[in-house]
Amino acid sequence: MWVAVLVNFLMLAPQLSVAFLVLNSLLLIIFMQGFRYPILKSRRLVNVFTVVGALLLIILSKQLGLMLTMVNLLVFSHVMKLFEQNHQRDFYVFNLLSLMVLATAMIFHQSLWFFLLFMVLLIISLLPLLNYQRQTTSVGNQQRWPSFTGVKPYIGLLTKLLTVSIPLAIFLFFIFPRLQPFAAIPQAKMAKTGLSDSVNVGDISQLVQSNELAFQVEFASPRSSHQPLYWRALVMEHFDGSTWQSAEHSPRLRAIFRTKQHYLEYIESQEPQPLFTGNAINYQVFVQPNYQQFLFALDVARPQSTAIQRLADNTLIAPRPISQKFAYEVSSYPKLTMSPELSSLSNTVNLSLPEESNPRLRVLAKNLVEKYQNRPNSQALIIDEVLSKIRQDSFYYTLSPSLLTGDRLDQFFFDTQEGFCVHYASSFTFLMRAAGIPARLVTGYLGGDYHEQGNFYSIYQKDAHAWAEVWLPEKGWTRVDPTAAVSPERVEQGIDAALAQEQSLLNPGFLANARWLDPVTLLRIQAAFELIDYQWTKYIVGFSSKKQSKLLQQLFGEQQYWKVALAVALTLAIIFAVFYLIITLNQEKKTVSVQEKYYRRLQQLIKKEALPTSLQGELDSPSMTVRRYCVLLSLHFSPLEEQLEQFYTTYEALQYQPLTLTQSNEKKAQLLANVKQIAELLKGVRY
Amino acid sequence: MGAIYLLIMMINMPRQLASQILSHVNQLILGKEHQVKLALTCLLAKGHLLIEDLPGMGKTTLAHGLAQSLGMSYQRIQFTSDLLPADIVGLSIFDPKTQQFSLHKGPIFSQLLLADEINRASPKAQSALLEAMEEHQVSIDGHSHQLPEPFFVIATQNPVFHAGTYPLPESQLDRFMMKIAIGFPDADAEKVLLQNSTSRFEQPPLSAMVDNAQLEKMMAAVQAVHCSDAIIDYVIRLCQFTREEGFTGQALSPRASKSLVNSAKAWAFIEGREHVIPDDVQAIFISVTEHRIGQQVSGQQSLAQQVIEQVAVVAS
Repeated sequence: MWVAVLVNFLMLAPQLSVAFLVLNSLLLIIFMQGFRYPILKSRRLVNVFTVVGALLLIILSKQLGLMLTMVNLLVFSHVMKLFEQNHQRDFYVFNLLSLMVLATAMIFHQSLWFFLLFMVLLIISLLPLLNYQRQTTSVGNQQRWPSFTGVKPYIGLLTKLLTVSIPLAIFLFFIFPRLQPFAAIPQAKMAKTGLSDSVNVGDISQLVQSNELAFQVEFASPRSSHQPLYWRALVMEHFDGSTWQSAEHSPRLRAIFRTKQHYLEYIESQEPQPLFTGNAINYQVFVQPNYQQFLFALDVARPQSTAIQRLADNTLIAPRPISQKFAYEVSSYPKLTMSPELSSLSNTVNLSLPEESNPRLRVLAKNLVEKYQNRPNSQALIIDEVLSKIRQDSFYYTLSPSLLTGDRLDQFFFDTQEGFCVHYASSFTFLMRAAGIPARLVTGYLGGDYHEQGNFYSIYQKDAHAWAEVWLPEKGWTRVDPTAAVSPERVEQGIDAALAQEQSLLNPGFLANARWLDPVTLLRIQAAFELIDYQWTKYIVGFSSKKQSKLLQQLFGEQQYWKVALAVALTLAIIFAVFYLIITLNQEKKTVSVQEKYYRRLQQLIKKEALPTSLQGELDSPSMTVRRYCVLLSLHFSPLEEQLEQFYTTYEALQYQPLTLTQSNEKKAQLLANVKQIAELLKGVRY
Repeated sequence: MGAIYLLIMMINMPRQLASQILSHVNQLILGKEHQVKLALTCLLAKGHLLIEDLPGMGKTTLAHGLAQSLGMSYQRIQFTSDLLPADIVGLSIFDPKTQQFSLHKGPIFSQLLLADEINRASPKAQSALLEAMEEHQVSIDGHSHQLPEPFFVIATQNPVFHAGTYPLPESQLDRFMMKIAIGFPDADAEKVLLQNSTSRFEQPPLSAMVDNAQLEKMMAAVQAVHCSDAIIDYVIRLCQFTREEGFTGQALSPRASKSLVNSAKAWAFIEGREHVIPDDVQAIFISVTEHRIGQQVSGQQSLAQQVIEQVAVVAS
């Protein structure tokens, strides 16, 4: 039993506070040791722990928030319940708690693998109940504590129960109304790897090496072009010399706009917003929980899901941080112009630079401006010049560049000349601003792995990327990726290709160690797993209330809710009716037990014989017991004596003795054989 | 192997003891195996026994033999019309030496009490005994005194010669688990009896077959005999039959049905079975219920016999 507790408690371990982790582990150890030292199970010790736990919970509740406090309380009480097992009721409460803890754990873990694990745990939690049920029915009212004597005897019953309950569960999954989560799922401040809302130019990103899945995308129709996929997530317009942040973080704007939304609402009112016309690419995105609000889309995007908001900088935002797997539909319009007119505020923001920083870059910009001053299309020429400089100079793409201090961008651009996307994008944006071209930094993901079987793309955390956008008259915001200039492979073939050489030198990695599996097979297995997980996310986790109503509409027609209700009611009624019928039929069968049936058969056999009327009258008396019946008969049919004696002992065993199932089956077979024998012998007597 | 054999011996021991006791007592009362078995059944089911028969039929001999072979402390009271409760339970007497009252326990402080001719005593004396039978304790001068365990009463009474008797009311008859009659011995048994001319007092006293611990073990084994639902249903059907309209006798109380089950268990135990069968219930039914249901009209089948013949063993 404590096994179930341990497993359940480990499932929720990431959600528990450290104090409770320690406390619960201590309790479990005490419980296990308690088998040997009963003193540890004393009432007083348990009471002390209860008080300590309650106090801890009160202290921690402010820090944890409602939901996590409740989770802590639940797990704590689950462990504590182990110590209070005096009545049958306690046992049931304990098992219900196990199930409750499991259900709670499901809030936090939603992938297929966890689901399968939960199924196993569910079975483990159900086993003691089954065990208990069986023991109480066979041993009468004796209170005995169930133990894992072995799973074998329960496999049959368990499979039966599961096969009965699974169709019902599936039915309810499709029919049961999807409720909005009543308690917000904890918006933990856990620092997850992934994009963050600020980009520092000096630090080495751990993110790039993470193989964690970020999101998956399914396109409605196959993509015709092979343009690189730039998944925009965040737009950063404020630079303080080392860190890029969104515009409202700048000292001047901070006083005016409290949040990003405020700022972007203002911009929206100042700039014409796109009319969504022309060719659109439709796709669906399945985001992994990342505890952030930003979402991902290509180019000028328009969300098709109502919950999602589109901001003026053409990024999408979720109503609350994504703590569960989340799916949304988007249409992207690659031909549309982003902000054809730039508001004055936006213009100012996207030209502002930290004062007196990076003088060398400023000089370079000044020179460039002077060089192309009188040329038409001067801005495009400046961009080209900078990109060709990056391409031709000895710039080097690496994930482990030297650390930068002071005028970081100057150092990078003129001295070290080694770095990754953030370095290139930052320097480029800085140069553009210095040259009077409105520019901003955009972060997101680049590329993605295509899975042919599932027709979807997987984008990992390592695909995170940063690039620049410059505002050109008539063209609006235009994407420029200076990283492409230094490392075209990064853009065209993905991060793995760009790092292939470096990784083979630095880090042999997991793949190289697993020699017994050739890398291609390993990749295939990984892809298969991903495919299953993707389908799981898409069809099961992603089964939203919208999809549900769509399904119901397909089944029952438009807006015919009464039909749905009727169908549900009818189905349930039929299920219960069938159930009821089965039960009553079983009960009717029980009233005439097997041994009674055979006894009647014997009586009928005897009736055919010509017996003296006095004997027959005595045999027919209602008070005749089986034993006396057989004894009386054997006086008359002496050759049958042995069989008759065997008959009544077997009958009595079946009717009046406590037997196990196998024993009673044996005896039933024996009784039938006996009746047949008697019938044969009677024939012999007659002729 | 030895251990297993010992184990089987341990399990079977109480049963063997029971048959040993029976054969022991049967040496004393000749040709009355069934009655002796019923008497032992009643005691093993922790019930009190009422023996009703004519004088000189061996009532006292049976009670005496049982008490001796069960190794219980034994007292006898001859009930008379002037018997007082204090003569049964005892009383406190002032001791002039110690200047204190000291308790003189009555004959009831024994494990087996033979109350001879119980219907001769006044109702006051009768009820003093009957209370003790139910509560297993007596009150003397406001102090309760626990009676020894186990505590059995074997009472005898005379069915004829009613002059100067106080017949037990039905409510008090109900306290006796069984009422048995011994009946005349058959010619063979009587012949043997007469050939052995020694009187009871000249015979060597019966040695005790069991001690108290063994007796308790036997009674525990009786409680452990399996009584299936089918049997309980049968007992209930029997009792329900007496409660129906049109039944001329007294209806059987739940105490009666409980006594039925317990004595059927004890009977099955003596028979050497670990489970009760309907034959056990039928064997003890008349003894357990006749005094509760009521007297038969002379010349007709007894009411209890009618019940057993009319109730189906197997529910239809």
